[in-house]
Amino acid sequence: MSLISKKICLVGDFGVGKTSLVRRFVDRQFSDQYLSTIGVKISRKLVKLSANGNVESPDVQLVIWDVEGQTRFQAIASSYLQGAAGAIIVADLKRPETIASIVQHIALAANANPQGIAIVIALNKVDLIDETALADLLSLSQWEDRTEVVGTYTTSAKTGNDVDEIFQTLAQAMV
Amino acid sequence: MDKNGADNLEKPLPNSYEISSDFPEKTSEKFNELVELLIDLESIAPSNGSALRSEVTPNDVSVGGKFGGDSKSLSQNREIIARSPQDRISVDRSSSDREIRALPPAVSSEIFDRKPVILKEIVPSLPVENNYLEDTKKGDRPEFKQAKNSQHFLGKVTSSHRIDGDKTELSTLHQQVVELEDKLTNLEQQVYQPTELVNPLLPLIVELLKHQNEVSRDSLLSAIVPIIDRAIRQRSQQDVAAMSEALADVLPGAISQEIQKSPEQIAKAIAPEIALAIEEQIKLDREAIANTLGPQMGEAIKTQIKVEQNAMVDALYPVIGNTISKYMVEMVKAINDKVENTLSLKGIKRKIQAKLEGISEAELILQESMEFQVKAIFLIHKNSGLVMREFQLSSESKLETEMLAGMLTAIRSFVNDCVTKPGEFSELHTIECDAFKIILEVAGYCYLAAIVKGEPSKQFIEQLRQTLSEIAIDHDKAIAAFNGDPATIPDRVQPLLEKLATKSQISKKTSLPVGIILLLFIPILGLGFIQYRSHIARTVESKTATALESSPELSVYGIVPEVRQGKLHLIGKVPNQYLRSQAGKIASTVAPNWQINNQIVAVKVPPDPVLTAGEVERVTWLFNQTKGVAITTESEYGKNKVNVTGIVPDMAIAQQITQAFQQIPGIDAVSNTVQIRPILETRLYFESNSTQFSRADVGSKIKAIQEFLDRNPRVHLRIIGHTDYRGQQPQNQELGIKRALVVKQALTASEVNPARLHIFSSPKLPPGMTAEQPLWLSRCVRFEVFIPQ
Repeated sequence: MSLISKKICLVGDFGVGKTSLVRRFVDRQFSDQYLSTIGVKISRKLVKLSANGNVESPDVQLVIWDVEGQTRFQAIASSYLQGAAGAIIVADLKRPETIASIVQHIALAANANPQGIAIVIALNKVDLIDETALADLLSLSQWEDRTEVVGTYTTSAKTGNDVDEIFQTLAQAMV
Repeated sequence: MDKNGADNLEKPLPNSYEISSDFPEKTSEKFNELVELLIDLESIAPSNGSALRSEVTPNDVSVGGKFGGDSKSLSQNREIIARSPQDRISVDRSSSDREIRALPPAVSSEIFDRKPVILKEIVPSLPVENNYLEDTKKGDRPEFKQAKNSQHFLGKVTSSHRIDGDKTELSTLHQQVVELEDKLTNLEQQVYQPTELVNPLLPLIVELLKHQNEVSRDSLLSAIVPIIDRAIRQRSQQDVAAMSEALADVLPGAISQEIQKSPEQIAKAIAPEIALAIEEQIKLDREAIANTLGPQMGEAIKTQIKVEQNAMVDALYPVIGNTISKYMVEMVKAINDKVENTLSLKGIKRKIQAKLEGISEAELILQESMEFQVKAIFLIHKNSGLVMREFQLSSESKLETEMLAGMLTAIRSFVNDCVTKPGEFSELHTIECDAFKIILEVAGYCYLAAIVKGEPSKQFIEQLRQTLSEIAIDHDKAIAAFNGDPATIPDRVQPLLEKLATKSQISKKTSLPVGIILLLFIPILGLGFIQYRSHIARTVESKTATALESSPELSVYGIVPEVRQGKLHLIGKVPNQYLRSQAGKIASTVAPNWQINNQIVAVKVPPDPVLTAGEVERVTWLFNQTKGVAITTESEYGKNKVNVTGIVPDMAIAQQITQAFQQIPGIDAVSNTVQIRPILETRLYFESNSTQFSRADVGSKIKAIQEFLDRNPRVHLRIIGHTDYRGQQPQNQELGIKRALVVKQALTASEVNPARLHIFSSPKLPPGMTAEQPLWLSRCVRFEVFIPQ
């Protein structure tokens, strides 16, 4: 049987750490340098799905579209999101406004893919904030009513915290 | 003495490291301090021994590691101190950390215990000393003044604590002061001779540097940096190895500090050496330099390109330009070859193909020159950019399919979103990358991407579209519902892609519709055959022409060989049959398999030279049979000419001869130089049995003969003597000779060349005479004219 591939997109405001998350996940590396992504960067990685008990666990090849971040001047090109089976919406815990725009991104991804899309929220840079502040920030979340969202994680591309989990969860949800 | 005293002592001393110009002052200062120390001790002594004990501890006056004098001056210092009262104070410099203890514990304790007593012993002598000092004071140098002041102070102190003592101790002290003065003078001398001080110091400096380097590198650096040059020079003259060892640790730090302080100067200083150093290192280990510089080179070049692109272009042009021109030369050569065989079968095919495809022939040539090859074909889901089916040339390294497809999809989206105006819609068809092209064709929910090398033909693109529409129409549902699993795409798609990739590989010919091929094939074949035949014909013609031209006898006639209807025709004109047949022979040698039609016209067929020669000979013989005709002929074949020489009796025969030779075939011209033979009918008559001819004949006939011979200088005469029929034969013969001889003599007498005269005797009657005629007619001498050969 041939390998199943799935397109997933990383969406979020600029500088929230989308590229760093992909880099951590695919290359197992992290760099402090900020390099703005222009257009799209595409990576791929094979993900083993955990057996659900019923049938065998197939491998899924994730074709990861790291879409350039949204800025005040430029919206995300929705055409990049078309045909995606999943999306990871990324926000920066140090910048509450990026958390606020998550809802917009969810809507954008969902609209681009009327056939349905699985979404995971990654609140990134968790290594930079303490726990009390984290609880306050998490209360900002307004996406509980979105059915597409299959999970919310606090991640850190720097420490690797929950990075594999977001991709794993998404892969599981897409198959 | 208290702690302040110790502090005072320590304070100026750190400067004593410096081997600088003010060194002598420093040394004298130090000496003064030592004197003061001595005085302090004495001044404090009488007040309270116990108080002193409680305040002063031996360690308070330690000068750990700070002493900067050389060993000699140090020992002098010690000596001075040791000569102070009772030798109770000494300087210990033996300890390893170079501490100078003014009061070693054992000594000091004794002083403390016995201080009042000792002082009592010392003090009475002082008044005298005071006076002495006043006598001996001299010099205006500051150090002397200082010393004087101290002594004055000492005097004051002692006077305030005057105690009666005995004179001997005073004199001892006096003596000591004199010695002190001497030492001072000595020291002063040394101070003005720095080398004596410096040299013994050097080893110590090395040790000190080492120690300080371990303890506090920074302070050492700040102290050493300003004077490092002189110190290094001095020391390196002494002991290079120790110096190197000592400096090795500090150098990097010192250099980096200097670099921080004044980077430009360091750069200036090092710059000229860098080239040399690199050169040297390359000699030693070429690879090491390459390994070190290699990774930086790429970055350096990148930066340089960013900073100054034009300069880089100029620098690289000679290299890259050559590569490109080399490629262009190959390319042009390939195109040239194709153009050269324009009239070949392939060339005609290309012309027809160009007409059919509606593109220029040049474009087709370019396509042929750039080898066309399909590297890979992908069927890609339009929205997700996931690959549904793919075909890659197995020989090549596999492309990163998913990434490539994703990126292509992203580029497509980008172009659609950003390049096209809103409301309009346009498609990306090709992406070019040097020799490679990515051809994109979109239909329905999918698109085909073909990665090709070289110039794709119109048929290929047509085929690509056809294949895609086939796939899009037949399998649109499966494609629309594609969820990332290639298994959901029908397997029938795969062979279509393979066919598209491999078919174009074999030949573009097969991509033409079959009917057209068949229709084309016949005329192409015919044309090709004609072309082929024409080619062969040209070859034979040129070969024959060359052979004919290189034959010397035929070269001038310009015979043209021509192939018509399968025959080799020889056309031209030659002057004779012989050359005509010669041309035929040459042609049949050159083209043995060809039927030769010799159409050369022999404008004038010459007779066989042998036959001509025979005919000339025959005619000559025939004329020579005629009386009075004696001719010889000479003929040349090449000139077709006959020269006739000889004697003929008259003009009529001479003309006959000319005509006769002119009529011989092969003779164009007759050169007739025959002479008409003169006839001498004169006869001289004799009496019977006499050799004497008539006297009258001498004057007339002999003279006439002589004149005849003068007129005809080539003519010789036969003088023939005759007798009548009577008498005996031998006598007659003899008589005849005698008669001829007489005539000859008579002619010779008349100045005729005797060589022209030949005498004969004839037993016959002279011509025209018969026995019936009178006898005297037979007794004569007659003449025959002849021309000797």
